[in-house]
Formats: sequence, C-alpha cells, structure tokens
Amino acid sequence: MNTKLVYSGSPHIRSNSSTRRIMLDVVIALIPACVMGVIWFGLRAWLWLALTVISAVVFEFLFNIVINKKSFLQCVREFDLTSVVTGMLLGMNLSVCVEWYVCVLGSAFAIIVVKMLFGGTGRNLFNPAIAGRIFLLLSFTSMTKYMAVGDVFGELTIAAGATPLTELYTSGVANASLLDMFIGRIPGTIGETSAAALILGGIYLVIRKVIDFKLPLIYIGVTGLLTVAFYGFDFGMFLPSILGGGLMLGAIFMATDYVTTPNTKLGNIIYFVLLGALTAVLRWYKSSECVSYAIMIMNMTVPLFDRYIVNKPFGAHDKKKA
Amino acid sequence: MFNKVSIKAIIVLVVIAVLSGVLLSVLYGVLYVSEEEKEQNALKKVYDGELTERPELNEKFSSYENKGKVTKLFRFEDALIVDAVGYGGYGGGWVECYVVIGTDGAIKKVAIVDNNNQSFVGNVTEAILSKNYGEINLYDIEMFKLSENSGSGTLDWSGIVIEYSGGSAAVGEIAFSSGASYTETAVMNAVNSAVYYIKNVYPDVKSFEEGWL
Amino acid sequence: MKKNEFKNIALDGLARQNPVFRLILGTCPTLALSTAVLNGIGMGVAVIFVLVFSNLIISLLRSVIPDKVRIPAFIMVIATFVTIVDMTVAKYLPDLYSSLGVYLPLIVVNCIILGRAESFASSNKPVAAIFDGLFMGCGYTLALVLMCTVREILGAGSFLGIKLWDFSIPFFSKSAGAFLTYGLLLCAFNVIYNAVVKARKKKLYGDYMKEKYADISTEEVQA
Repeated sequence: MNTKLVYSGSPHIRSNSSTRRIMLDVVIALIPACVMGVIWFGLRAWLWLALTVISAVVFEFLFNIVINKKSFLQCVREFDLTSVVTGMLLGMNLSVCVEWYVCVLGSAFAIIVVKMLFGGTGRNLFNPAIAGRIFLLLSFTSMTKYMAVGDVFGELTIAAGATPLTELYTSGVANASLLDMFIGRIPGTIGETSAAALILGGIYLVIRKVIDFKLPLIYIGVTGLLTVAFYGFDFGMFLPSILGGGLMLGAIFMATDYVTTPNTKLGNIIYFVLLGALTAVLRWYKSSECVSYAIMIMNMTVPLFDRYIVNKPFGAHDKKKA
Repeated sequence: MFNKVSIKAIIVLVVIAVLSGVLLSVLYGVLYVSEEEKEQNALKKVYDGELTERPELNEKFSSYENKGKVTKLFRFEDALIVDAVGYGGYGGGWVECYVVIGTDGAIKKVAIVDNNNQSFVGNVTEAILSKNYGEINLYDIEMFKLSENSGSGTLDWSGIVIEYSGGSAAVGEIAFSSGASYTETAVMNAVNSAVYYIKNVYPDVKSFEEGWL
Repeated sequence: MKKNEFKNIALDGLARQNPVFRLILGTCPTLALSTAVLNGIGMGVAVIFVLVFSNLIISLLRSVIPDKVRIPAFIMVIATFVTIVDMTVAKYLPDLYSSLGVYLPLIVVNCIILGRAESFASSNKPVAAIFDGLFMGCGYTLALVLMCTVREILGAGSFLGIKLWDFSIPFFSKSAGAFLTYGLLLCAFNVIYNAVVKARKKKLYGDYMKEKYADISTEEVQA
C-alpha cells in the first residue's frame, strides 16, 4: 500500500487562493482606473503611479532586510503583492500636480509606519493607503491642487475653481455633467475620477469572489441617501454625490480591505452602514472630500466590532434555565 | 477634631503661603511689565524708530463695516503705524496687525502681532505678507470709493481687486493672495480696515503728508 | 555625599530614569512645544530652575511638613517658583513668553516636578535633592531638544530659527507628527539603552553567566 495517509488539523481542503492570488486580482481590477487616469491626466500620472508602487515594494524589502533580518531571497519568496496594492492605491489617491518626493514619502509612511511597524501583512490596524493619503494631505499643499482635464500631453494647468464635489456642496449643483463624472473627465486625483473604470474593476472582483458585492453598495447607497436627506430630500443630488470625489475608489477598493474590516457578516453590514453615514455627515459639515477620514475613523472601531459581534461557535446553544 | 497633627498641618500650610506671598510680592515690584512697555516692545519689533506722537483716532472711520476696526495710531519719524484688528478668522476669531505706511502712502510692511485662537497663523509668513502687500501705494489706485459687490471677474495679480470673483474681497479692497484660509481673510480685513481709515481721513497724499508737519 | 551616590543620581536623571523617554512624565509640554529648538531650550531651562529650587526647599522642609498635607505644601512651593520664572520670562524674554504660552504656568502641575518632589526630595538630603533636580532637568532638556531638532528640521527646514533649506514636511510640525516622532524616538532610545545595558552586563559578568543576561531586567545593573 503506497497511499500515504496524512493526519493534520483543518483546513483539509486547500484551494488555489492565497494572499498572492487575491492581491493579483486586486491589481488587475485596479488597472482600468489607472489607465483612465493616465488618459485624462497624462504621462505624468503613469510616472507617479509607477514611482509610488516601486518605492512601496523597495521600502517593504528594505524593512524586512534591515529590521526583520531576512535575506533578500526570503523576501522575494514571501513577497505577497500587498505592497504593490498599497502602492497603487496610494498612487491613485495623489493629484498629478504633486512633486516626485511626495510619492516616495507617502509610500515610506504607508509601508513602514502603518504596515510594517504594526507587524506586517494582516496585522495593520489602519489601511496603509488611507493613512498615507492623510499624511500627505497634512503635509503638502500640492495634494489638493487638481489639474484641469484636457491637457493630456501639454502643460499642466491647475483647475480653476473647485472639483465637482465641492461645487455640489457649496451651490447645490455640480459644475460637470453626469456623463463627465461617470467617465472621469473632471479634476481630481489620478484614480478616483473615472467611476466607470472603478465599477468595472469592482465587478471583476465580485466575479472572482474577492469582495462581497453588497458591502460597497451599502456604503455608496447610504452616503447618497443621507446626502439627499441633508439637502432637503433633493433627489437630484443623489448621483452627483456618489460619482464625485473619492467615494467609488474608497468604497470598492479601500474600505473592503480584509484586514481592516470586522470578521463577521453582521459586523460588516453595520460597519459599512456606519461608514456611509459618517462620510455623508463629514461631507455635509466640511463641504469637501472626507472619504479617507471616514475610513480611518471607522478602522479604529474594528476591534470593538470584533469584540462584541462574535460568531456563534459551531454547536453552541443558549443554556436552558432549569 | 483639632488634634495636634492637624493644627501643625494648618500652621505649616499657612506659613508656607505667607512666605511665598511675601517673596512673590517683592519680586513683582521688580519684574513688573507695564502696558506701555509691552506696546513699546511690540512696536520695536515691527518698526525700528522713534515714536513721536500718538494721534487721536477719528471715530467716524475707525470701524470698517463688520470686517474690522482700527484701534490705535502711532506716528514715527517717517512712517505711520496703524494698529488694526480684522474679524472673520477661524472659529470667529480675530487677527491684530500693524500696518506700516510710509510718508508717501506706500505700505512698507504688515506684521501680525496678536490673534485669537488662530492655530495656523504661523502659515501666514512674512514672505507671504511682503509678497502680497509689498508694493502697494494707497494713493496710486482708486480704492474705497464705493463698496459694491459685482459678480464674477478677474483678479489682478498685483493683488488689487478689479472685480472680485467669488472670493472674499469686495471691489476696491486689497485681496489676499489666495484668500483660502480664514486666518488670511482676517488679515485681509485688518489691512483693509487700516486702508479704509487712511483713505477716508486723509483723502489725498498732501493731507497725509501734512500730518508730519 | 559619596561619589557613588552622585554618579547614580546623575545617571538616573540623564538616562536611566530620563523623564521623557523612560519615565514618560510631562509628555504634554513635550508634544506641544517641540516645534522649535528655541522653545525647547527655553522650556528646559525653566524646568531646571523650578526643579532645583523646589527640590531644595522641599528637602529642607521635609521633616517639618506633615505627611497628610504634603501634596498641597509641595504644590504651593512649586507654584511660587513657577510664578517667579513666569514673571522673569515675561519681562526679559517676551518672544519666548508668547511661544511658550500657557505651558509655562502649567509647569506647576508637570508630573516631573511633583514626581521628583514626592519620590526623591521629600526623603533625601538637600544637597542630593539639588543635584537630582539639576540632572533630571538636564535629562528633560536634552530629550526635549532632541525631539525639537527632529521636528524642526523635518517640519520647517530650519534649526534654531535659521532656515536651512526650502524642503519641509509640515506634518511634523503638527500634533500628529508630534505623536509619531515621540513614539519613534521612544523606540530608538530604548533600543539603544537596552543594547548598552546588555553590553555592560556582558562585560561585567563574563561568559560563565551567559544565561543570566539572556533576559535583561535593568534594575540589576547598578554600578
């Protein structure tokens, strides 16, 4: 008899999906939005994206080699593409008008401080891309200067006036057509403008079973509905408020990060509803982009969710009183 | 109730309090800083010169709408410093500025001396102030004739508003470079209050210079 | 005072029980004021002055003040000296006075001063208390200046008010940067401290006690 019987603990069925595979799916899903960003904002967008991704990977390797004392080959073997995803998401959150060092510093902060110092993949408390974006927002004024669309290969002209989102909140009417906001011909950061490409990526992720399609829908829907409610039940505000700003990018790709969401189904539903509410309220008060702050605040509450909303153990039942 | 320990405790505390009080009152006499001195120090930091006169404030023009007011005037050898307060700062606060105006009516310098709760007042640096107010002569341009709000328009990059474009400066006022933050708005209001005062009390260069005779 | 005792007090104040990086006392002014090195030096000198004199007075009065009212008595003594410093700075250094703002009077309730009064000055001789106050103050000043240097160079591109270069990351001048810098410096200080302690133990105890210094507890290193 040459069948080896293996005795081991669960899991007993192993599928092909590992962290690397899931992250590869996310990278593929992000590519349409990146392409649209390059189309609208020029080759410089591609340069900044590449720089952010490369520096994210470099910093992860450096940290592992220097502090965790792994060898280079070990780092390559264990490389699980999470830093590539972080780099891409952070790059998509930058405006084209930033300087080169902004990309590098943002990657350094996101990877080293937010991810590696907390323990590496799977142990970070905050979404590294979100924290990196907030760090850059606080540090560099060029993060909020957006380029006017149309000068793809020419000079960078700073967009006069506000993004459609701030216009929407100050005057009740967005200054771009709905079609423009859907395909992305509006000022904004590199990855957040094109809702069409982001939704395409989101559908790919749902098909590959990486994210649950209900959760981003809940987030986006709640934000839109609450915005409508805050502005006197004017349903014309619904579509502009969900297409403008970084809501699509944040809801589909950044809020659904595995590490920074609750473990249970019920917990997730409540988490995303609260995310939507917080985004709507913050946007109402601040009249500008607040998705990153909302996600960061809710990331802090995830341990609370995991403590109080616990799955019932298999076979458990309530003690019956005698 | 009054046992030995608590009596001793009370005595010790009282003695310490009395001794500290005596020490502090002695030193207070030595280290007292009067309002005059504080003012002198503040002025000296902004403009180095001999203070010749403190002109009386003309009450009619000292308050500019609800945007700011002029509180004091200091006349020096070759400059006039207007102490102006501008409202509209962050959280409803105010900013106090010294506007230094030379004898020919040119703004020499603007310095922020005090503020109320403006945490980002440090962002309005000397460089930004001198870039914005550096070369403006009050008698060169038509300002403050009427204060009308027009619709949209263009901003002259010398800083003078020709017509304003949704920002916070009205026609005829001097705009601040980006007008983006509340603190900058308060500074703008302070300087504009000072300019409003000067242009209305001394309508032309001659009467302004006569102040020095 | 014995030489050993003096050495202990000095090392305690500067490194072993450094108030900012080891005892984690008085963090509020450290975080709020460390945007510029000049502020740090000013605050440090004020703290040294208050520490030395309040330690001295409290040590002199240690047998007189009853135990039940020691905290109010300490606070009164400390408040007197803080008021003296406050008035002096307001008169002679008005710039420093406005940049320190409310943190100068807050030295009264700074945990370092009250902590040293309670744990050292009230049970030691005056000479020892003076030196403890001096070295604790110096330790605080050095730590504060270190934090200020990092934050000023990174956050404003200047040092001691002199602009070095144009590049700056304003994040470090804000409160979030203060917490981040403090955390990273705390980590770095303790890593270096533990390494130094380990090396000294190795030198003292030699090879035959290898298992002894495998897990370091720093109380064991005295001399």
